Amino acid sequence: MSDSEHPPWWHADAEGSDEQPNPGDVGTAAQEAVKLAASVVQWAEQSGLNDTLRGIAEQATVTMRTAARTASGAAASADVDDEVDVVFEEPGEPPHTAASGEHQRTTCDTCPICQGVDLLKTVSPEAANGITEALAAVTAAVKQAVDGLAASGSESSTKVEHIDID
Amino acid sequence: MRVMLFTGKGGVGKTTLAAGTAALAARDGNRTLVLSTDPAHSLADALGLAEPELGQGPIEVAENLWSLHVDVRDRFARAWGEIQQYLLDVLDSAGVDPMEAEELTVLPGAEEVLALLEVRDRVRSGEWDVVVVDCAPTAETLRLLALPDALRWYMDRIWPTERRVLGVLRPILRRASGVPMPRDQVLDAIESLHADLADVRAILTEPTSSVRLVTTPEAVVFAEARRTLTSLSLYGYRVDGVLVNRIFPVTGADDWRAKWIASQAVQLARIESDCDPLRVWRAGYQAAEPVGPEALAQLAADVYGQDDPIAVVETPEPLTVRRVGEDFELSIALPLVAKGDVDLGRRLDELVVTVGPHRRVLSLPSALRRCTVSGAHFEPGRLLVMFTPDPAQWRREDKSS
Repeated sequence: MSDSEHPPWWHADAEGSDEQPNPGDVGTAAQEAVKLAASVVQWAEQSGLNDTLRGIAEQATVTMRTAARTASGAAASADVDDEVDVVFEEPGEPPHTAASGEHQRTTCDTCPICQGVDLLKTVSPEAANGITEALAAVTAAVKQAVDGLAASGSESSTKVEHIDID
Repeated sequence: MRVMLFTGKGGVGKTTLAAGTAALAARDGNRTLVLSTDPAHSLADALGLAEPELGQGPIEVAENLWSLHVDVRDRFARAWGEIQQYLLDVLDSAGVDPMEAEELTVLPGAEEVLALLEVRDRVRSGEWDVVVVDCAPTAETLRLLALPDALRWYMDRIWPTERRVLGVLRPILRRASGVPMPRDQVLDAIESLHADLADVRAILTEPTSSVRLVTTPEAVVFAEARRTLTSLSLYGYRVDGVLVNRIFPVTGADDWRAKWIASQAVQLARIESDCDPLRVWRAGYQAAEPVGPEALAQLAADVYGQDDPIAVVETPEPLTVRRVGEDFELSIALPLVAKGDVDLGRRLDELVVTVGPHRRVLSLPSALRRCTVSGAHFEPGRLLVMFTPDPAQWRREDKSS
């Protein structure tokens, strides 16, 4: 079985597999960052904070993308821009088996982590280290935010409940 | 300390009657301050003063009567300057033309809000027995003051966390996005503006504060006054009287004026019945413009007659909570509204009341937060919401306390 037929390892829970990533895919620091982000996603989904977290994760992806673009410098910028275009592709193709151009993709087009990983493959180890720092800070901040919300009671829903007037 | 606010459609004589009430209050021995929050006001003209210098402070117009020209520019710089500068930086980084950016960052209604901050300072100073405020037409700003209440949940629960998150992320976001992140001073400025507005609102909704509507006996003008009365009540302000200005004298009328008199009589009857139980005072059409403190005081004396011009007229409380057996009944005064125009909802600790185009987000008193809404009932002039204690929530609170 080739990699392209398997879901990425951070989708493992959903697909019932705990296959570990191939260490050659991404730099160590960047890989750690992704792991960190994945565990945050998982933890937040368990806490019933999907929507909030999706927003934050998307923001983190944007941040990462911009950071990568900045850090990888002008020489690599053309390469990164190509990948960024892929990020905004219409999600028409089936996830986890998407093929883009010459690359055999092992990630989906839609989830922010996959987008992040695709991006990380194109950046230098130095940039990846910077991204790791950024993600660690994002994670800490997200955790803090969620703790703050949890501490304020069971008010995770903000839906207005209509009251009939007689 | 008595705070009186005057509002009404442009051109109905609002400034004249506000200044007149102030002049009369001063003549009765009250140390009185009159000021305007309307950017296009003519208070100085009505009082017969020369154009006041900016930043001059209160000017003594007559014995016990002081007038203040609010220097909004200075207030603007103090209250909004830091926030505006930040917005300018953001817009600049987004490539917006500086001239356009400047226009975009001027808050609509900001001048009036800042003038109300001046009112707050003067009231808090304790120097005055009566503060009379000539407000901008339609009292839009008073409704704007409901904003701190609407934002309270956000400011209490989410904002502190957001501040912490921003503290951690600021350098990264700045580097990554190229957009300047607000500095602590900006966040402080937002917090203090929020607290200031809440404080202004607290002063203006005290039992010693009330709004008086100024109208003329014309259908179009009174229609506006009716809407203002409804929305001010919705937002919790006490409206205690209506001044009907420019009433034609009945005697010696020619044909043209006789038609006006007949039309005004119809409108006056309607105003009396619609505004009940508010006090309705009538002001005759003057033969000459009343200018200067004496003429204004005389006009006001004629209008108020035997009534004490500054006494708060007893009217239904804008908002009450009373206990009915084990339950609570929350009552919101909504004059001149049909049941079909009212919509009600609950969101966590808030009650969301919508009347036509106006929506008030009401932060529930703590006792009601631990209750479920068991019903709502509309009767003319009033919305009643019944709350039943939720045993689960009371137990949880008892345990945690």
